[in-house]
Amino acid sequence: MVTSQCLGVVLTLVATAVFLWFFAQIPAVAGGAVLRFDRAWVPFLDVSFVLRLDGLSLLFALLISGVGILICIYSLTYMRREVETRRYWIHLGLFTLSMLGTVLAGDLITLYVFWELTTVTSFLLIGFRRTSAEARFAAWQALLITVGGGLAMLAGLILLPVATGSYDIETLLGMGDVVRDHHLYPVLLGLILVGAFSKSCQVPVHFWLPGAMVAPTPVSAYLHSATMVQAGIYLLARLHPVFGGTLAWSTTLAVVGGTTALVGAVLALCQTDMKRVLAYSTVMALGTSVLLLSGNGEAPVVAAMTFLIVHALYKAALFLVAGNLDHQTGTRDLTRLGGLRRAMPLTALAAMGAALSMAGLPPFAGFLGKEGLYAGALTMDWPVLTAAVLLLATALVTALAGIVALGPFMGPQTGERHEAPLAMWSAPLILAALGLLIGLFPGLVEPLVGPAAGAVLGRGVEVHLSLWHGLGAPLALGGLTLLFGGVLYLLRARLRFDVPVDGALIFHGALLGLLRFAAWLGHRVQTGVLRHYFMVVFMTLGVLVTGAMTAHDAWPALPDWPDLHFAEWVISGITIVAAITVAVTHLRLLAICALGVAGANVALLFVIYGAPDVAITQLMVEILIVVILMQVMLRLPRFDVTQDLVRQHRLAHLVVAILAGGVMAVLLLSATSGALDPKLGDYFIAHALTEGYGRNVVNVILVDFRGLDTLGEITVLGIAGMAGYALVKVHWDKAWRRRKK
Amino acid sequence: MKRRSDIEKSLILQAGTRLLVSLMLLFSIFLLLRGHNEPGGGFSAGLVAVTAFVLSSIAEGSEAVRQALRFDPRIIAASGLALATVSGLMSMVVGEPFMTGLWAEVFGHLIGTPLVFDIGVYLTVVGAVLSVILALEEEG
Repeated sequence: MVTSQCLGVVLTLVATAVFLWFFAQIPAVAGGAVLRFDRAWVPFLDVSFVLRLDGLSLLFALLISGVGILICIYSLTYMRREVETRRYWIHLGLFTLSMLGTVLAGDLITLYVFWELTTVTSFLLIGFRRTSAEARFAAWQALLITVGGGLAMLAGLILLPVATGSYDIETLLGMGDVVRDHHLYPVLLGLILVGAFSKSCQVPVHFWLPGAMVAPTPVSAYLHSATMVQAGIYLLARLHPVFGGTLAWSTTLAVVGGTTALVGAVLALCQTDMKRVLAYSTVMALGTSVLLLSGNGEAPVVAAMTFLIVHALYKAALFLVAGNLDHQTGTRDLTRLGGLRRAMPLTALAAMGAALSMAGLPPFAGFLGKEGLYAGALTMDWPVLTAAVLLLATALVTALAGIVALGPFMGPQTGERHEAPLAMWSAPLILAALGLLIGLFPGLVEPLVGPAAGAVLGRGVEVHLSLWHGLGAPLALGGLTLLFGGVLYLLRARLRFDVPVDGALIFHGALLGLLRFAAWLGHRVQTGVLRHYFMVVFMTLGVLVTGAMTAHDAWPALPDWPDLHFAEWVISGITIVAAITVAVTHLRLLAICALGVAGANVALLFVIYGAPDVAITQLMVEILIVVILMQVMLRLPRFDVTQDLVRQHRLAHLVVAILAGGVMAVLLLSATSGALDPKLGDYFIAHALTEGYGRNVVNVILVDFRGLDTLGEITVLGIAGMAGYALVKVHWDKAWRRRKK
Repeated sequence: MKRRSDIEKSLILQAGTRLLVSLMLLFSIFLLLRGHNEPGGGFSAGLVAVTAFVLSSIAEGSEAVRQALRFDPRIIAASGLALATVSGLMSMVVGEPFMTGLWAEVFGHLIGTPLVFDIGVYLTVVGAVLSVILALEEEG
């Protein structure tokens, strides 16, 4: 059997290979090339399986695979304490595959398929510790919200070809004006934004992300900071040339993004669990990205791309640090962690590096990101407002950086602690070091950011990132941020407040309410009494047929008095007498026998009218019904007892029975009153021998001409048999045990 | 309440049943095979076989019937379904659409995939109905 460590190593190697391959594509893509893989999938619907690599896809692909390698290395050690870890590696591998597919998709349907695959794999990973009810609930919450958004997005994606005529993204990118001027534009925009916002945790559906922190820490670091939640950002960036540039786009994204950024940052201050603090700060970061993508110019888009890289590096590092702290001390509560700088020096170093980047201090990459934010904000439509919002949010984030990095490591040490294992401190340290490296040599990411921004804007973009852009508004704002951030950090104890109402609480309440309503409705409708089901069915049938007949004035004429042979009169008479006996008798045995008599007489009628196959089947079925009813009879209470119970409802039963019988009679009269179209009958009679090689036309129809139909029927028969068996075994078992006591 | 095992097995019924059951089973196979050209077919044949087994279970008890069947009735039903599906798939092997009848001349008689399908129907009917009846027989 393959061990989970084996799987982990394989996944790490695959991730490394993928990363190296993408890395090798940087020169080509930076030069403007677009790689493409095309396969026809559903030619009838004009859907192809297309993979497309351009600047934007490459940036994301490198992030996914690169961070993925470090997460895998980290997990090899971290997950040793968990059970069933083979499942973890498989789900993680599937997730990475689906995430890569999402960013590489070149066709709208391909994109959607991979998008939903990321939703499913994320669900599986969040609910990894499946014995925990909290984990299961968080996974469900995430699933319901992102799938709901995904469905809206699907509607938008399917409607898009109405305007553009193609599912292909390459074609789409050139038809921006067509889409923007189309009358369906608001609908399309709304639907796709719902999908993107639900995946990227925008207000008001942001609350699934903090809930998802019950997942193992490597999952949180990977999915819920660097990759999956960025899928919405990817979609917005990818569709920017198509949908962007209108007032609707700018306003919606700016408002939603700005609100999310503020809400996320403020709520982060109120948390004590380190992972939840980081989750809310991720919400803030996503809000910021959305806000930046609302802009049209070069500066905001370049800022968004830079921020993407910068954020992924420091956020993943901090999550892994939280994992280390949890692993070594058993808690993530910031109010209880302290003084670990001597016991866990390497983790502390990684935390410092990541936090300095998060606070935006030079020479770390975070500084580049922050400068870019302000530079971009000042060129957007409402520069002062946007800059103010960003200032507030970023100041809060600076304070958070202090809380998260200084809190656990400063102060007096509590208890005996040890450093985390090699794999676990090296991953965050590498990420933090990369943050420093990129900050010192921004030229390293220029070949990534440039083509990415170019893909978003639809034209070539020259990018010059550097630490020093000269004295100007961005630098001043940056300084102000640090100042405010420092002040907020010092006031942090006063700022913590208890959040009264949480989105998660509302969602939980709504879900429980829905389930309770469904249960109530189920009890009302499914009473468990067979009589009630029959009455509902027959009454519905009766009412519908009567209504239809009256509405179309299709009541059949009463037939003439039939000219029957004496034998036919006798048989009909016996059938009627038997039926009445079933209804009025007090003896159950007599009732069952009378039922059998009625059925046997019907079989005789079939014989008289020349349908021997049906007659044999009818007779056999009737015999078996009698046998089964006899077997069941042995276990029922006395007949007159049950009859007393229903005597009060006799009238109702009589009415319903007459209604049902009458309806069937009317239907039959109506069906036989008009001339029957002999086309099918003649065809079958003519071709049964020549093509079916059989002289029994009925049988040839059953097994040859309409064989597929029969296959369906025997499948139903088989299922009914299994179900009947299960019902008998389960029900009698319990009842019998109860009676034995 | 009298249970199945408490009722004394009637000797007359047992003796008569032994004869009848063999005849009925033979008749059911006869019905099955002649179905394509004379009245009969998978459904009626299956039901006659079921009736034979039910008669036997009333006379001898359900345990004897299960032993005679050799396989669990649910397995018989499932194999009937499988056989019916396979008979349809056989035509796909030669490139025809699903469920096209393939016929061959064997010793002067025409045999084809519809016959295999009919046998599948037969087994499903026998298995499905018997699984319920025998379960009812055994409980209580």
